[in-house]
Amino acid sequence: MNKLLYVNIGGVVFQIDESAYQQLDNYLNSIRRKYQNSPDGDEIIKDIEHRIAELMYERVGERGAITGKHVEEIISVMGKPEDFDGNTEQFEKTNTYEEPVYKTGGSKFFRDKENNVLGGVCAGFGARFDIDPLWIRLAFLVSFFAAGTGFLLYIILWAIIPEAKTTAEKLEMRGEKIDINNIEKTVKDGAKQFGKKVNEFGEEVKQTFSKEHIDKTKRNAGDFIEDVAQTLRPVFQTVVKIFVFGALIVSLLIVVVTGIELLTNWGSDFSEIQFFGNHITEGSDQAWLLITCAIALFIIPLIGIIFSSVKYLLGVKRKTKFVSASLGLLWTACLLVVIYLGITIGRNFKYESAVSAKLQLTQPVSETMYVKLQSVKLPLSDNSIVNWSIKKDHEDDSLIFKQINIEIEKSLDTAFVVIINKTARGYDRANAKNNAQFFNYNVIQSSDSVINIPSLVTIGETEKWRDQSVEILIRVPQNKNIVIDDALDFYLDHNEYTAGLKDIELFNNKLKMTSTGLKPVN
Amino acid sequence: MHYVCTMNVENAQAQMRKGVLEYCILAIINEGEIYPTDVINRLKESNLLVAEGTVYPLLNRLKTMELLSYKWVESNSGPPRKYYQLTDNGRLFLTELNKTWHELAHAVSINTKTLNTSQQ
Repeated sequence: MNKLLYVNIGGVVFQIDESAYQQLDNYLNSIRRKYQNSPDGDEIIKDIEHRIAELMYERVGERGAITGKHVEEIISVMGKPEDFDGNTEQFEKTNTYEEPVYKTGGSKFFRDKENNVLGGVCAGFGARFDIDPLWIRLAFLVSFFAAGTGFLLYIILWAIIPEAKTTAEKLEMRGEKIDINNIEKTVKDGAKQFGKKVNEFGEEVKQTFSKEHIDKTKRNAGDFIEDVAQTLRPVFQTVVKIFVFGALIVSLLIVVVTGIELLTNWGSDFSEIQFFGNHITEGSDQAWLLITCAIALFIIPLIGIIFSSVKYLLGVKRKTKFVSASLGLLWTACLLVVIYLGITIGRNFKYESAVSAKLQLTQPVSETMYVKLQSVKLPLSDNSIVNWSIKKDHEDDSLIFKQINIEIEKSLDTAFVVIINKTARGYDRANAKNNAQFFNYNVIQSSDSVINIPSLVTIGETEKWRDQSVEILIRVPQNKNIVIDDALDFYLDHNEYTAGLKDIELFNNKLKMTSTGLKPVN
Repeated sequence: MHYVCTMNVENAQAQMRKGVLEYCILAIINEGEIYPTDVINRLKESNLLVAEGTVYPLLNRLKTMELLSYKWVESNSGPPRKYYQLTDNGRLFLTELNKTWHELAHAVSINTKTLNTSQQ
């Protein structure tokens, strides 16, 4: 689709398509620049326009439609301004007309399929910024090794940037050369324009708030707002662009870091997934699927963000419904899989059941029971495990955790009693009970007055984790004593029997069971 | 290497053409009042002209030097056209150029004689 314009050249009216118009305008401007200091500049331009009109007329007749091809032909017939006769030396030196330079506001990117290696993305960028594409290819190649950032970006750019097909597009693809002058000019122009806008805005405000204009202002409030909006639009656009750029960088970083993480942990993650599969899901296949989909759920929107921000920043208005649709579909599929697996796993935790067992005890002769913590040696030197945390034992892939609670109660008779309640979950009651029954946790009486509480629960390599937990009830008869090791601090649940005691009294201290609870002996 | 040579040759050729272009244009206009497009057509017939755009600044300069003058003539197709003719100064100037050209042509033919005979 091409917009058609009407132009009056040398007194003759022609139809011309937009890109051809730009080409022609650029050409005439370059001539104008050459003769801008010459007193007869206008006349020369007029003569040349006159001739251009003749050449156009020869090609399309009156009111005919001029295309980029015609303009190119005409420009080649007329020649480059630097070959033209200059009035004085200085013009020849300072003004050279290079290959058509198209200032397109930095919004036209095309892929150059004529100089491509893959999709012509680098060649297109090279043409756009007038750089040897080799450098851009090198940059991409280097970033290929940065966890494939370049690869990802390349694929996205390939999908977004259209191919330069028509001559006009091929010409538009060739952008301005990036050099110091150019950058300076762009910055200056931008600053000037901004300054002008701000001044205009200031004038506007001054006028608007002067007394004579108050009434008028009321009438023109709408216009005023419109003007303000117009003035602030470039500012907003800049802010949005910066924001979008930030989003792009952050998304890219996250994707890349995730990529690096996955790649570098590839080997060890196998065993992690194996472990996860053994203890939580039904085997490692399910674990693989779940983890892959979960990562995809998080990566796909980021790719979407990268995609659309690149599109926005390059000003590509190409429809990318196919890409967004497939990304959306993929994401939905992943979501469904995650939900399905979540439900499957969740079902295994539906019912809870407990198994209770009384420990065979020898009553202490001294009438004092010592409760101690038996440290299960941690293969990992990690002392930060608190109650709920689950750790992997790297030696044999068994699972260890600290889901252990101790409560001290009053015995109903004159004997010490230790009851161990084991709880677990399962897909039905029988399964839950089974799960509770078959995990190992052994409290041992090492002498007649010492009970050892293992510090951790260990679940074997192939056993499932089903929220197993242990509750140990220690019943102390009235007027008999108990000493609780302070290492049990984390495990002890406070209840009415220990309520009045401070930690310093509670631990490593002989306590007597009275009718109102435990009391320090001294 | 080949590319560079071609570029240099083209550049030298353009310089040569540029030098004689002014002389030829004055000579063509000397034949009578003429419209620039016809000047261009004449120059193109003789393969002297590459870039048409060159003619206009040149005509303008010759006019500023008061070697040429023009008048407007109504056209049947399109806007009025400029018709150029030589001024008295222009005719003098052309005579001088003509003299110089013949001297040059003579000098060139003497100096390139060996080149042309050895080539055959």
